[in-house]
Amino acid sequence: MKTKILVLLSLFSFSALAIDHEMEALVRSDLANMPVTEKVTLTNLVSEDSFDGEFFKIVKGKSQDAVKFSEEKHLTFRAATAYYHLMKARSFFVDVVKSEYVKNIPKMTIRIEHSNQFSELGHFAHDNLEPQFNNALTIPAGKGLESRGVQPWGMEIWFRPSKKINIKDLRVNNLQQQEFQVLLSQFRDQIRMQSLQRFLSNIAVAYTNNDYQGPSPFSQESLIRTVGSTLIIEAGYLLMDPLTKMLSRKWYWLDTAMIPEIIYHEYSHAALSDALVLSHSTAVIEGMADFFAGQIADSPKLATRIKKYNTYNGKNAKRKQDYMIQFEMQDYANTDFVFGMLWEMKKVVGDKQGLDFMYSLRKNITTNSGIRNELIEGILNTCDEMCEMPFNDKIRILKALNLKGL
Amino acid sequence: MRLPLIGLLLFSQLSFAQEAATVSLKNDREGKSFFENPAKVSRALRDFKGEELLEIYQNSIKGVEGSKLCAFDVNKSMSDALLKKSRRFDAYEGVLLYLRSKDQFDDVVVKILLDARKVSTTTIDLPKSEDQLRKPSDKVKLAEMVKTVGTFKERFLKNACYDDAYRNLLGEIRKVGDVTDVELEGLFVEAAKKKVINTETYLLLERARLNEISTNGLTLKSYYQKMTSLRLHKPLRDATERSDFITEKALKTKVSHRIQLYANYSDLQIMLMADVVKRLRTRLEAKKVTISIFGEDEEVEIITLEPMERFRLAIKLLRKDMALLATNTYFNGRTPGYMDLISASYETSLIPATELKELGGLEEIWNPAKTFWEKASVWIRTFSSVATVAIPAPYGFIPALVLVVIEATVGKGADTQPDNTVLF
Repeated sequence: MKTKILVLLSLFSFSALAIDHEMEALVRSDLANMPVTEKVTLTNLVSEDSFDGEFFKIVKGKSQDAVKFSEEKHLTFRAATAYYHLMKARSFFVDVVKSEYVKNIPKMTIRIEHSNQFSELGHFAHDNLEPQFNNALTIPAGKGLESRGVQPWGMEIWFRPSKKINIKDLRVNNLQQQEFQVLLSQFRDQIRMQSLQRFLSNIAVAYTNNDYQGPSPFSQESLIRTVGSTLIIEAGYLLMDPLTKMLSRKWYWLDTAMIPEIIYHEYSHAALSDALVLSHSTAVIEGMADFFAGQIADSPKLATRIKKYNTYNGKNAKRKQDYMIQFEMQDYANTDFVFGMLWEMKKVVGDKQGLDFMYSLRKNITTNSGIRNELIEGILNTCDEMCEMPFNDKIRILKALNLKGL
Repeated sequence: MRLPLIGLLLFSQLSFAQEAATVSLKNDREGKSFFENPAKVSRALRDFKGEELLEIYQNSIKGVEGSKLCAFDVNKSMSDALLKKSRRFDAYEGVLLYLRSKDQFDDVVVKILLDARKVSTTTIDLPKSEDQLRKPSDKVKLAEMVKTVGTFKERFLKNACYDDAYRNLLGEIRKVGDVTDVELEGLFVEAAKKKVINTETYLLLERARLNEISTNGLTLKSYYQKMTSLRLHKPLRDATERSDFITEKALKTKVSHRIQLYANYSDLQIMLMADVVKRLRTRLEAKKVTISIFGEDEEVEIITLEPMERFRLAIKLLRKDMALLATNTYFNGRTPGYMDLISASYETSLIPATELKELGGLEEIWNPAKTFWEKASVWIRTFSSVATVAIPAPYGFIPALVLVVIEATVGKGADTQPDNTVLF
């Protein structure tokens, strides 16, 4: 009897404590999917004056105290955006994917404007040890180090502050630009060859045909005609690079706490961590997180315009200019290849079942899964478990992957 | 003594009873008909009820043994019955399609009956122009051949189906001497002139010649024989299963996959072809494939294939098996097409209908369909190369630009360099 009363009281207190608060946050517009500032409702808060909720607590840096609503706008805007989108991501996993694991994840601490590196033992690396910017990270829970006064911590998401970096200092493998250069070079060669062929044929005609009435191939007029087009193309080719640099963006920065897709991506890591442990970054777990981020965002733009969100253009494995197997190794784990692959797999399996399929896939792979071996094996095993017609669907999956050069 | 005699009597009764049973040509594999035409069926049903047509058909094959099945006889029997009840009836094809829709027979039988009907109703332009007729030059052989032609009705047609009779006649004529198709025309006219054959027989022979029925391997009798043999050796797992896939048009032909299968292959060949697909399916389903490397006495290395390597290995082995079929004595150097293998596997119940489409689609891997632009780019490249010189400045850069665009878009194919990170 007493237990029942206590349970009822605690339930009542929880519902009584669930507070909603309206604040401005960055969201995607409905039509054009552009970032816009809108008033949103932050739900499931347990505090009336800070970003402390039932499932998330937003803090600044290494602090344990939630960011207050009254703090500077720069901070509260980021905190509101992070909180709002994290709640959206959580709802997706609980209500759409029906994940019991996510439902039972304890309250997560979300750190914004946090630049310390992660330490598995000490939680935070030293403040002066290579501060991190323009990034986001999901860290696993840790036992702490009691002897050093380091308290245990739960799963957390860290959003780094943004920092402007000159494009020159950024190691970018702009394959699109390189491809354009190659095409321009081919065009230039073609025009040169054409000019030479015309010049030679004019000479042949002028000196073999007795009735030739036209201007001499060596006259000023002829030479201008022959060389003119080549000169124009040559000028264009040489000026292309400086012009591009002059007109293109020079500074790069990424305010991760303000980008909904990154927030979804990081939360997806947490949501999938029952099977895909957060030990280190690999192509497969990054791809899985990207996939679910795309689902939460429900934005076809993310899937169709993957190139713009990534420094690599690894979609078609058949062209070695676009893809090398080394891109899927640890150092290059931020490629979009796995994301594109999983997105296509969802289409092959069927949109209706695709989400459940991809969520079940996590049980058939691990953090250390390679793409060509364990990931594909995992997809096939998941199909055995979940596909309506496993033989047919596996053939379609294998054909699709084969077409992509895997 | 009496007992063995009684036994012998009973045994012979049983054999006789089996032989006299009506053949069944009922459809047990095909879904939607290749010949489907509701308008023609409606026309047929204007003059007759469905039950009447069924009865007419049943009567036409009643008591006919499998070895004596003849499309021309079935057509004649049905036509006579139809005309008896409706003198101006001219929707015979609709009747066949109606019976097909009721699964009384399948598309293969429809094709055979329609072809036979076409032969029987071919109009002959008479009289023939003497200038255009050619006869065998050797007069002695010609006389012998004419004499042989004169025996067509009594010797060949009396105990065989029309097409078999004609085929046998040609065989006998060719024993006398070589004769071309044009010379055959002249030979039949000569036989008619010499009155060794009457007009009716002449028309039979001429129709057979014009329609080249001697080269047609697919007869009702041969189809029935193949089908019963297949059902005997490879009983159907699910007699209610139907497939629309095998009644689709086969590439570069005017018939369906199933018609093509029975027209081109014997029952034994079909079974051998089906086995190839069975092995393919087993390999595709394999969970693990390894390559073992043996040293002097023991296994020194095991290489386990990745999933995609297993898949491509299965495809490679399929192509090898297909090529090896040609070396099989039963195929006489002929390599069956992949779709023929798929049709054979379904016909022998080794592959269910639900898997046909996906298995059939595997051919795209080694024989991808080219898009319109891929085909057109070959021609555009050729003419653009010429145009770069022929078109005067300043417009000459346009074909050059076209060439570069083609290379960038249509030419965006796989690298020719092999990927050494994969085995297959």
